[in-house]
Amino acid sequence: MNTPLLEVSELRKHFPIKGAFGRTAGAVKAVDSVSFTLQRGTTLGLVGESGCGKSTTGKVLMRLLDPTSGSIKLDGQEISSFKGKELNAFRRRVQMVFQNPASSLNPRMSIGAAIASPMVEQGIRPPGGVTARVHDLMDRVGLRPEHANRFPHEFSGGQRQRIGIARALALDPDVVICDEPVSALDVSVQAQVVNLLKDIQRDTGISYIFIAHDLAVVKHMADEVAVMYLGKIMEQGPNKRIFADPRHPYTRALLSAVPSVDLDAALTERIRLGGDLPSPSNPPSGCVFRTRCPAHALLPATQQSRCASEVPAGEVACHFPAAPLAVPAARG
Amino acid sequence: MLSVKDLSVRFPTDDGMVAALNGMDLQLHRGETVGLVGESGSGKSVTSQAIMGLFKESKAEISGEISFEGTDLLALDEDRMRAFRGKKIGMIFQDPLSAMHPFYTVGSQIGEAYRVHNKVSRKAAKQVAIDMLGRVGIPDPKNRANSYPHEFSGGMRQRAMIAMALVCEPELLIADEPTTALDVTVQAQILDLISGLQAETNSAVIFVTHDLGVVAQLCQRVVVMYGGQCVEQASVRQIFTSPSHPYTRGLMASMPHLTGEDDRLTPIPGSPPALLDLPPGCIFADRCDVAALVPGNRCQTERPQLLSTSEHAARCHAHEMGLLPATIKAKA
Repeated sequence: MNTPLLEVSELRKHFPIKGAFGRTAGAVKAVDSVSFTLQRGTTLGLVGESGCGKSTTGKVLMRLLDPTSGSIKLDGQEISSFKGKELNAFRRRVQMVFQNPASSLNPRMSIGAAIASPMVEQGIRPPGGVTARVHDLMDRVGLRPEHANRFPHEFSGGQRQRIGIARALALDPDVVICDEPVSALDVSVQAQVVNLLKDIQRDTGISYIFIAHDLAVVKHMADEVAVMYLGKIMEQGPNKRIFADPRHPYTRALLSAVPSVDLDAALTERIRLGGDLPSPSNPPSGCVFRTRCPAHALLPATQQSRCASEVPAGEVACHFPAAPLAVPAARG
Repeated sequence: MLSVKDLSVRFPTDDGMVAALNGMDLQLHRGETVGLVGESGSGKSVTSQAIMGLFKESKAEISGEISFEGTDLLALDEDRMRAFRGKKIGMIFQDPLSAMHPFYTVGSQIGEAYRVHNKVSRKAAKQVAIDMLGRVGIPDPKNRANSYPHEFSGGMRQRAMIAMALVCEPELLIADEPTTALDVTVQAQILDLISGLQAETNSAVIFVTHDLGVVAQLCQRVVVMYGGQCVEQASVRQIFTSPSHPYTRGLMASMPHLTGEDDRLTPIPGSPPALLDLPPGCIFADRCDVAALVPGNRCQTERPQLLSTSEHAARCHAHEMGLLPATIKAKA
């Protein structure tokens, strides 16, 4: 097998909590021992609910945050300790598209200048000049090149997201990390942007890390899917397998919670999770999902103690993936 | 029970009059749940705020008719409207953190809503609030009533918000995107709660959302909005099996699904209309793929009407003239 484009292993990002007199009182384990690989020309979808660590993972990959420990390899080269010039060169190859196109574009900068800024910043003069390249990029993402002198407020949300995509593509990166790129958009416009991202991938062979909370969008975008919960990956695998045959109780609960438009398919399996997310500064021991797990309550005591003491690993991070799930509690 | 006829709301701005609602119609029967669906700027929230009488002291120009159990709500002055608000019509907002007062405990805020309409002591009101918190599924309501809004998680806050809206047992509940800010697993809990409470109290619900999946799960009837108008209304089954307005069809085709193989989305071209300057004809005409089939530029020149007498109505010339192609490809 080829070297994967991106190989992440045992990645951790802990944010220290400061106690009295500057002592460290603990840590928020935002990302805890995350491993995955990304093959060239494919898309990895990172899904999970708010606070699961998916955005932090994206920021660490981009080296906007320094990892606490673990390794990130791009084309086999360890990049987690890059500094200065090396880091700058690395950023040419990994770019990012943000969730909110209104706040990720400088309102006083024309969109042409915004799209050109990565090239200016990196001191790159493309053949044919920067302006021609900007026009190319705008054309590529479905904007009219003659609008290059306009400002972000003159564009709609969907168009602004196209500007963000054009800017991310300016340096011809190998990987684009898309952090919730369509969640601020209306459905009809969201579909335009999803299709655009897929077309760009088909034409250029670019790879994406696609971070989203919307499972249906991830199903349409990703080749591989990793489901995160409380800083850990609960289940990962090929898109088809995850959506057709989810094995981890959390994935199953997450999928069954999405309201379906299929009126006749209802009532197959409705799993309801009780309670709220535990605090990431004090996660449950062993399996972090056990406190809300619909299978856990039905397990015999000996098996429950294993969930509490041993951290599950593997593609399906669950000790007893075949265990029956508890029936949802009565309504109301 | 509630009838909205030809309601128009226009707001004066520095750039001119913004036509937020342009002849909105809505009927609601006792015990019924109606979904108000549309994208941002389609007028869903303005409709619900107009019913609540929240524009009484603003500069908005309102015309049309809102009648609730025979009372014309638009003719009421602020004082008399106040007797309806909360007592007969309750409202749940999208963001409970900004809808609640941060300085008062959750229990006292719910109790206050009760005391406005009922002559009881503070102590008695607090007991009502505690009972209500218990009914919406807050564990240990007696102690939690003394908590402040920021001490609650997002899902619990939304439960408290629902408790506040329902404490006077209103006959009509308006829920304005109550689950949009929540994670799917928590959203599922809240949807169960709303439908459970509705079955208990037999109140009518207007559920404002942009998510067709939520509508399919919760509502009996759907009103689809676009550009400040109702463009189609039908039962949930009809809307999903035979959508009759090109916009409704477009919305469904652009929605990513969790099931099925079709991985190419079909977006609606263009973006939603600017409400400053609406076209004289059909508001959707410039994004519509069937407008070309209608002879004589009728879609560009003449505003289509909604035949609200029938159960299933669409505001579309092509539909009326029988020119609409047979239903869209059914998705698995």
